[in-house]
Amino acid sequence: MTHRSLGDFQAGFLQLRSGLVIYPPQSQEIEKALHELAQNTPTEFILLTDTSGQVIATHGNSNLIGNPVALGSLVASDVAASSEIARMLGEYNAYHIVLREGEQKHTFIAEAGPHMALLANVGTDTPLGWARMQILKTAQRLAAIVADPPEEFVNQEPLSPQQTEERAPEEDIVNLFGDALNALWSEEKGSS
Amino acid sequence: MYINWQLRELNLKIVYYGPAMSGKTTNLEKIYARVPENRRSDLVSLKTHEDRTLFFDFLQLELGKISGLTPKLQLYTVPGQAYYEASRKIVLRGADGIVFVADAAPNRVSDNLTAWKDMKRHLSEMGLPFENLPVVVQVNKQDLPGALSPEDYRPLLALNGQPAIGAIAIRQVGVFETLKTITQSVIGQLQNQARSSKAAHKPSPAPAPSHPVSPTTINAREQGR
Repeated sequence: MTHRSLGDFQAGFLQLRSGLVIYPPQSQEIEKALHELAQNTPTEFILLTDTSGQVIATHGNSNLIGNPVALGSLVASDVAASSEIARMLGEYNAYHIVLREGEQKHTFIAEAGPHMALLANVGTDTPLGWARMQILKTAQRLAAIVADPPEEFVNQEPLSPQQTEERAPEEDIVNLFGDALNALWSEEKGSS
Repeated sequence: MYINWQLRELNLKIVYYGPAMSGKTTNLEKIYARVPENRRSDLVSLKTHEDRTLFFDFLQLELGKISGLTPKLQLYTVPGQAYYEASRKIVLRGADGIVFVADAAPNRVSDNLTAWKDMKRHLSEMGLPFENLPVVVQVNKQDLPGALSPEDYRPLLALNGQPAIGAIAIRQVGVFETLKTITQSVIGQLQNQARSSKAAHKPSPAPAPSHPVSPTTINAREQGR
């Protein structure tokens, strides 16, 4: 008998409806791109999220931000809303950037391809044109990084029977999530 | 859905959809109030001055490790008022599952049906066939006089195996059952997708059921709550 579990997703055979899978080599490339953006611009804080609001990466002092998870949902929604406004007005461009000017720092929010959104906080001493160019370049680079899965994952064979045999039976996965939710619901407030 | 193999995270997006004032935000508020702080994010609410949802509410829950992955559930609501149609469509993007929160009051049937059709049209426009998306119907406010039951709504919404759950969200009744059912439906479907995808690489494909979780009907009144 062959068992399957969430581990099957690791084989790279999951066809996502509208989602995004980031493999370890891509994750490293993303971190490198954000680091270079932070160095070259420079930026105080960067947040990268997918278009459904799930935080992919942050760079810089996240203590300044408070709650990156909540921020991610707002950034993704902001990009989606501004894209929709642009479409309604007939002036939509891929990789559009929205700028909010501040007294101490400016906030850029950019579309990074079809799957991601990028927020960057830049000090007011940085020229806006320079920051905009660096952020646009990074957004395009990030989109290219996740455009295709790494070759080693494209050609990966399904898990061997020996590997899958060690995993939980497939019907257990749905129940495992149910159990995890039961535990979450019955957990005492304030417990850690 | 978003998977980060580096962090071994599986992130799922669940959207609470439905007509105005049906209890979508109340569902999230009750979950937020119940779950320990270290297992949830802040509750983000973008509201109007009249305390109605303007864009969305957002809450993230973190489950314990499962098969080496840390699942995170991202819960969103949409604004229910008819004139926020564009915002609803935006929030629906990337949804892995939908909870349709219907108002059980007899005079809200028309509003529920309009919102249901509106949702299906948005999904179709986004290339997300309704039949392929896990959907759970919550018929909220079962404590109202003359409230319609989940069974009443099965034919009204032409449900085809989608679970329907009775709830009194304000009293936390049916809130968890709804969350658990939609989560298990989403996971079941993801597993089926993985299985189908894998079968495509093998000579003998395995058929995948359209609704991985057995349809359940939990009527709050019948449960005596």
